[in-house]
Amino acid sequence: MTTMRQAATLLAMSVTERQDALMKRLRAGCPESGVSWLEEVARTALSERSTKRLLDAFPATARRLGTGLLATTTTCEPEGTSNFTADVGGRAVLLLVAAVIDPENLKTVTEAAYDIGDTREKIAVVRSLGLLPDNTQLLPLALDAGRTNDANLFAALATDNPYACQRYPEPDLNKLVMKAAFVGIPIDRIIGLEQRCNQDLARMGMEYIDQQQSADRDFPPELWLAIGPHPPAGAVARMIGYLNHSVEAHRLGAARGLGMTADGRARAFLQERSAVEESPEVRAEVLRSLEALSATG
Amino acid sequence: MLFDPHIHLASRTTDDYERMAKAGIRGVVEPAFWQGQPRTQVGTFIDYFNSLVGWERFRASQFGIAHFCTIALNPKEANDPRISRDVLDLVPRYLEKDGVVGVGEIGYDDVTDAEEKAFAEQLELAKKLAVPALIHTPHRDKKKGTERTLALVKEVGIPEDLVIVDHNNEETLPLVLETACWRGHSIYPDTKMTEERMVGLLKRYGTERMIVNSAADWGKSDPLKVPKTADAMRAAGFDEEQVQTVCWHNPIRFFEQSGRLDRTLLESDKIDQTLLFEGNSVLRGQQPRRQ
Ligand SMILES: [Zn+2]
Repeated sequence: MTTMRQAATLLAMSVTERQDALMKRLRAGCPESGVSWLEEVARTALSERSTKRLLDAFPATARRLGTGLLATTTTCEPEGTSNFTADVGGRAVLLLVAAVIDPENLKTVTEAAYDIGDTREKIAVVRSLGLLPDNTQLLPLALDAGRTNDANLFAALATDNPYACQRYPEPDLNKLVMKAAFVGIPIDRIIGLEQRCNQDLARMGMEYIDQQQSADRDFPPELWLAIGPHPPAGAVARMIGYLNHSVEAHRLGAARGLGMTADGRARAFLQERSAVEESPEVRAEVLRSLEALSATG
Repeated sequence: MLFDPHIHLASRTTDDYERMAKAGIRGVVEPAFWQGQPRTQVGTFIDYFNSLVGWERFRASQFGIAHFCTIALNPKEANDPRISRDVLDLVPRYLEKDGVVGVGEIGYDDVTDAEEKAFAEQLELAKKLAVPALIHTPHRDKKKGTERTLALVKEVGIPEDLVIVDHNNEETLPLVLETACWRGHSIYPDTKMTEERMVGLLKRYGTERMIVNSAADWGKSDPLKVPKTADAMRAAGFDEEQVQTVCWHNPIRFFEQSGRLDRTLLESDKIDQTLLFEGNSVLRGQQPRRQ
């Protein structure tokens, strides 16, 4: 619910308002000298209408502002920014200033920041994608980040970042979700996945689980979240089976997946589980899923 | 502990890194220079600069060596109009990257107008950012090239403390000694400057602002010239403090003026070969070492 409210806020926020929200957090959490450096860079760039100024400052941002996690404020944060570090926040501000100076060339500037960036700079660009206006044109950049070998860069795209689910075409999104599962990124941190689940993804997820099981290997239990909304034949029964698994995380994953299925058959099994489940966390999830299923009838 | 303040490791192998670490080298500066063959587009420089600030630093760390670099358009390629302007425009941004401790190599090679333009522009940049400038001096007509170099340094007005004039020999060193610039000496196998001649210069002129490097690159050169010079100094009766002054403290003091030379990297002797850089390792299936 909170996520949806925040998303609505972002749509209503102008580029400068997004900038201001970040600046407020930077002021609260970064060295004063760093913040005034950033303000000066923005001022000069704006007065000279020079995006080169912004790009030249891009690498120095981490040194000036630090790399610590920015505290959130009481007001609404733009979606996907709650775990911004100082360098990411500062670099996002630079890109937002570029959007003001030269909206026509925002794609070129953003790509230049990314292409010549080290991993931290690339991560900052990727984390900022959701904040930038007209960001559909930045899809090739995001797709590049999605193909990286670098676990941190990939995580910046896949977790706590609304961009992929907002803009990725379905086949690319499915690959991203499967890669996340494969490299051990919790897919429940892919913002907006629930709305983008599809039959093909569910099939891929199910096949992956089958393949892991035949090799006697484990699979990430959150994978059921990608399967639940469009369960292929047999998937609901499998989830029901995992409701009684000895590993708590598997019971949790199965309960969450079942809650998304809209399949009334699951209710009796969830009720049964709720009576015997000892873990409060799993029990709460089982009850939530029961509620979700009764809401859908 | 030893420091090689001028070495082109992008052209060297992991064997070199291993031997350097074993010989006591704990830190290096890799100046951007030409790569032995002309580059025809700016993109090649982007990839080269990226490897200096990223991949090469990672490789060095895997052998316990702290890697810093300087960034510039080198004089040789300043003569190529296809790339010179675009590369000069990239330099300011790379100078802001972590671990970039100055502008270099700049200077004269063939002493052309194009070289002078790039040289002056980048000296101005070093002055503006208050970071060290590493100046290459020509191998041909060296004395005259050095005179012009020192004149340009004066003309631009960059503090001489921030300048190292490199590749000195018996003819050029006295010119540099008249200034406050730091004195760099590249020790090569067989030709140009040798360890023995270097020891001679140190005996005659002392150790102040004197710096020694291997300038090892893709050509016939020796990445162990700093430890070898240290040995030659000891054999000639210099005490350990003097050896440390020339082969450790001086280069560090010089590049520390950038504010970007992180001493904790030099002092840490941690090696973690389980780490990856952008998903890649220097290992080929070997057991990772951690210490
Ligand atoms: Zn060199």
